[in-house]
Amino acid sequence: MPRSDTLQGAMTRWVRHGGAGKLLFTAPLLIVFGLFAWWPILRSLVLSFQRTNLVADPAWVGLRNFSRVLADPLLVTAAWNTAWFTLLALVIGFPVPVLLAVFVGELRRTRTIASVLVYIPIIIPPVVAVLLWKQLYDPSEHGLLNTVAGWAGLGPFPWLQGAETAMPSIVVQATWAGFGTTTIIYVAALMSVPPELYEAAELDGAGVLRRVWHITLPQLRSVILLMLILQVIGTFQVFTEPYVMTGGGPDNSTITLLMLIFKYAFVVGDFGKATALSLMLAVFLTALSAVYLRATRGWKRS
Amino acid sequence: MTIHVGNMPTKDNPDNLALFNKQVAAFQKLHPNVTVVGEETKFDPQTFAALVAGGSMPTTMQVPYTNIQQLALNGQVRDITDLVKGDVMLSKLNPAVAKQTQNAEGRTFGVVSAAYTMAFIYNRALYKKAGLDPDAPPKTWDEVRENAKAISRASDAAGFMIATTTNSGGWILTTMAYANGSTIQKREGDTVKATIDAGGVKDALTFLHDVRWTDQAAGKNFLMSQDDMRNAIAAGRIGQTVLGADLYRDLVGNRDMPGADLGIAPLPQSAAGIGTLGGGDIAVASPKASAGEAAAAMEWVKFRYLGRFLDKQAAVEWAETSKAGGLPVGAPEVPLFSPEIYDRYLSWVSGYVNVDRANYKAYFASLGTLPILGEPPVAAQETYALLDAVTQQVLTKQDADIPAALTQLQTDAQALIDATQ
Repeated sequence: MPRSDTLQGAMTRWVRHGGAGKLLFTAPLLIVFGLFAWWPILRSLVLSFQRTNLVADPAWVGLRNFSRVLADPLLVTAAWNTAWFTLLALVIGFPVPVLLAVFVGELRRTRTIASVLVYIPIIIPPVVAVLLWKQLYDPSEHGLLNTVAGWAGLGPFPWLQGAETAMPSIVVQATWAGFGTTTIIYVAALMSVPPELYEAAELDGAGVLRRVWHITLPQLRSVILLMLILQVIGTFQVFTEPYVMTGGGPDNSTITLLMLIFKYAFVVGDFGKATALSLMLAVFLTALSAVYLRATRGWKRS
Repeated sequence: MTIHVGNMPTKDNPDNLALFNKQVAAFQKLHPNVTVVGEETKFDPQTFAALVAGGSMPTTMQVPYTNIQQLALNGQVRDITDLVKGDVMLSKLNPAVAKQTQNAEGRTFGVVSAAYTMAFIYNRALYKKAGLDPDAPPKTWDEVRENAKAISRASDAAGFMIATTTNSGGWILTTMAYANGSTIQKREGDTVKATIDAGGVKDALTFLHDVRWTDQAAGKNFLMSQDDMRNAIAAGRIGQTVLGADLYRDLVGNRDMPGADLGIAPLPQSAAGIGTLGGGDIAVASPKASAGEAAAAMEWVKFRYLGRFLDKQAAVEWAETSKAGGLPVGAPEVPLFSPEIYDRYLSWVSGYVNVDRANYKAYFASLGTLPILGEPPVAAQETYALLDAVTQQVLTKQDADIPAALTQLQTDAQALIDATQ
């Protein structure tokens, strides 16, 4: 008796505090996310312990999918390539939006048009952009980039056709395709820097470089830290660029983890193996993010 | 009952579509209880598994020879052994062709709807430009190499190049291995052994390496899918290559290559050569179809793909529609039935032939003499993917260590086989 009393009381309190309304408002979100994100994630967790091609009845195989993935000689190659892509993307790609944002931030009257120009590559559909660059990377001496290199007396370079040059070529394309969003975010962050700081610095006789070093970058610090981990998570899942530009070649020098997952699932039709590797990648990225967030906690300032 | 049939021609191909619709009407007249619904669904290895799992696979559609064994093993296509037992039309099929639809236990998983053999493809216009005789295609790989040098001296085109990505590299390397004297897998009783370390693969890779590095006659682009390759051939950028002899219809009909420029010849053989690789399409039934639907679907397959070879009216209608739509009639294909049946069919359509068949005399003659070998029996696609990398390696790395690569490939290929057994 008293028990249902308290339950009823709790229900009444919940309704009185607008609980039903809150639930109603969040219901669409919960349903959509549940159906299209959380449920598939749960299903793939299950799949990774089964042998199934989604037609025959699935069989439970324990950790066998994981051991089969680990036994694949291509796994090390793909993991190494993915890490190499991530590293190159950090070295080549990470400073670009920062520098551009500082530059755009220094502009006064033309800032809007500059922001638009910076953002244009984002508007181009990824596969189209990749195919466009594939043309630019034409390895013959008539290729666009090789023609330009030829004026300087260099090349012709093999670009995507060489095991050493393929990955950097892909990184340059990916950087070009992706810097717009990050730049716009940095520019927005810069707009919130109090102008008094710059005025004070100018009164103290600081030049552009010193202003950037002592005011702009410290003010951007927390955004930069966040963008860094987002970029690492993003680049670890690189797929479209190598898939379209090189198909993972030459000689597997650009095959990535996501391409390997794609191969397991859609070329071989082995969904257990594909979800097992996806899960391993997700766990790795989660751990990496956790470590990163802990390590950089002290550097952030509100 | 209603059956859904895949591989319906697309709307940008109105003549083929008209022929298809004509066939549907005629079929339904013969089988009043069956309604045929056409779908444009085509086999794509990257979506097929999802198509079957999601229940959207048509009752029947075509799949390549390469995939049939794997799909049968996966239970992704229906076992139709009992449905085609004692079928008169199918019993007339060329036994080598019919065998492709069966697994090792002799169960049948489909009906062959088209066949081709891998051949030597060359550009007759480029041959003339390089001072070579287009009516005397090379018979040995040394001649291919000499011609490649001549073509790349005389033009911007690649003297000899093959497709190397999306499993085509492995598929063509396997073909070239046959031409150099060895298969890449051998069945020994119940087990299958990888034989990549036999001489054929080594000779084929050495050939590619020499054309690329010693002769500088392989062009500049070494990462090409089969689709890229077909575009490049049609555009006159490839002097010589190895591909299926059935590409006439696609290159001339869809990619606007002048038919007079397209050379198709028997696959050159080394002294040890054991033949060429055969391929084609097999119409399969959905594992989710009922026995009745699957049987009706197979009737449709026979009517649409095989009828023209055995029935004069069907042959004439097919040829008339093809010719009116600017599509080739009389292009190189592998006869699915006996040579006599095929010759009779050719006599029916002789008035409509718009392909210069004299250019392909050597190829037609080779169909009766050059052995046609099947694809590797186990994990064919995975093995091809593995071999893609090595074809790319010898073409992009001057100091590629072929013996070391072969040792590694042998181990990896055996592991792929063992994983499926």
